[in-house]
Amino acid sequence: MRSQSIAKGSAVFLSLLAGHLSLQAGTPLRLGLQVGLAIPATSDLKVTTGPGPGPSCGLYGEYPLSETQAIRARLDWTFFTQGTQVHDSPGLHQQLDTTVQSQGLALDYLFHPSWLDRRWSLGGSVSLIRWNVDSSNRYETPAGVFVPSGTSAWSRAGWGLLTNYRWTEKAEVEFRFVASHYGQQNLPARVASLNLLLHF
Amino acid sequence: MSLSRRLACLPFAVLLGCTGGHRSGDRAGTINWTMTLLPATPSLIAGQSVQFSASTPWGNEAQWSVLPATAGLITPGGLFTAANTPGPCTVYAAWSKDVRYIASTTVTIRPIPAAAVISPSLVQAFGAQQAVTGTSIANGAVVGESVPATTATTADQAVKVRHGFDPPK
Repeated sequence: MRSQSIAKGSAVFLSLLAGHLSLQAGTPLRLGLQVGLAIPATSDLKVTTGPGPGPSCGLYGEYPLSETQAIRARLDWTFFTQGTQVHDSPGLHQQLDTTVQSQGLALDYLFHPSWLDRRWSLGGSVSLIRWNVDSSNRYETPAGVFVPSGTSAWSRAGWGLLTNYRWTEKAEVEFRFVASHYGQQNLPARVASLNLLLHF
Repeated sequence: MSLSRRLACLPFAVLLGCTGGHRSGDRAGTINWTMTLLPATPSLIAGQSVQFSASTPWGNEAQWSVLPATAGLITPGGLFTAANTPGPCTVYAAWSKDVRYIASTTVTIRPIPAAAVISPSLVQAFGAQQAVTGTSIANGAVVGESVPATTATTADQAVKVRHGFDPPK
């Protein structure tokens, strides 16, 4: 329910941003699509998601502030791989499967340093991230099996660093590192991602 | 190597770093989180019920199970009713919102005790020989002997006791 609210809120936010910016005469607002791979970079998140890369996708609107600066509003979804933890002890075989998804609404700031090739840009971002964890905990004992399952969700702030490389006029490659927290115990959750940005 | 090329290599180096270093100890350390389950190790007679409660610092909605399933029934609210089979069983509770939070406790189910034989007019008495030093007062041993029953009642009629001896005056 809350994630739906965030999705709706995010869509409204992006629409308003796009609408506001497009009202300004001559503003070359660029909308685009993002696809990429995300990898968990903290130990607990790796255990919960599995250490491998998961796909991500998103939408964004980019607005140049000047020749060397731009801001970018972005809504993205990341689907991490399933994490499986197995524990064996006398009389008990336990398997915990967890699937993590995150939904982020971010505002990026990008700039082109004069000492760097014009194709490169660096930046930072602030974001609101909705984490969803589906978990299934299978207890097998000689007396029987107990398999509870459930879903948890948390909204947390995040911040990030990013590097962009303009490949062509329509395509950019982006490396992004985002730090946030998740879980009831507010554990660190850091994610590195490599994305392809396609401008419409 | 130019700065641009070094920067281009950076993302891949970081990504490689992120994929490595997975410590196996993390798995055992995070598979189960603490959940409180009360009462701890209860003992009850076959057919009796006990109300369990489970909680985490963030909520107390739980999914319940009893193993073996033949040991009794447990409701979604945590009310456990023992079946007629004596023996130990285990009650499990997992927090509904995050089943990594899980707790269990052992329940001992005792057999139903033999029914007491009640006679309205006789009670069975057990005792030992008693003597009062310096007197001739002495009582013989009374072991399982049926003696006439007497009913004694407290002054406010709150307690009524049936026994085999006259109550003290």
